Amino acid sequence: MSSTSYTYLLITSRSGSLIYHLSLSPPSSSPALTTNDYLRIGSTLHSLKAITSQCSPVPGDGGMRTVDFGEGRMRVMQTETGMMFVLAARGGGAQDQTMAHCLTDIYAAWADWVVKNPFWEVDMPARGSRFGEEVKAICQRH
Amino acid sequence: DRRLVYGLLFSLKQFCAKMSRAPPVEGLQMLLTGSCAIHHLETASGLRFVLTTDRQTTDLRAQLRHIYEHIFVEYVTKNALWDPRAKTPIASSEFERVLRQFVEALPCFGSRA
Repeated sequence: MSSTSYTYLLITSRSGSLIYHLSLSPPSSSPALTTNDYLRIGSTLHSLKAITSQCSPVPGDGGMRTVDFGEGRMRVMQTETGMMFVLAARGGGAQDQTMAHCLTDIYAAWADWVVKNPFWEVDMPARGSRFGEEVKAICQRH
Repeated sequence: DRRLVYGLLFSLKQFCAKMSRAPPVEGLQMLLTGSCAIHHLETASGLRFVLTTDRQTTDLRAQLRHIYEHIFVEYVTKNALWDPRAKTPIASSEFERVLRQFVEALPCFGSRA
């Protein structure tokens, strides 16, 4: 049983469009986001990352990686291919390393269950429920 | 550059509000990038205090609050010549002096170990 309670997972494509979203906690404990909400959040992610990497005083900074807000924290992972995986957790117990490992496992699951799906093409929105189950199992483990 | 930061904070605020239970309690606190940390405090009046540090510094909430309560309020808000609605930056040298003194005295300031 994991000690971190994860709330949302969002995945955007290289162009910044949202291709997958999943709510990881029951709707009673965290706000239920509508599809519009997910899309709105997803569309700002790429620009936020670009802005933060420009704002940073250190050149070559990768940009936004973790965001802490009162209720929880959000960890961003950008892959070599330009996709972004964003995981949000609730509460102060979420460790940065744990969330980072969780994200790499989720990326591996993405490669297994979505990329290898012959009916899925790159940058297409993904809908596989098998991937969703896998993500939930990964979040349980971390 | 400053406008970029402002736009960033504005979008992040909506972001955090969406992910938190209504009404959001604290809002954006800290943003970590590969090499630096941006600490943020938003007051009820809409003022924002932003401090950029290296990644070693983890929590500056109390310090930001101190800057607001004991430095900003004392030297800016209580300054009769300062108009909060004017868009001009704060020009008080006393404020800057006290602020600089406080920030330089913080354990996180100064050369890396």
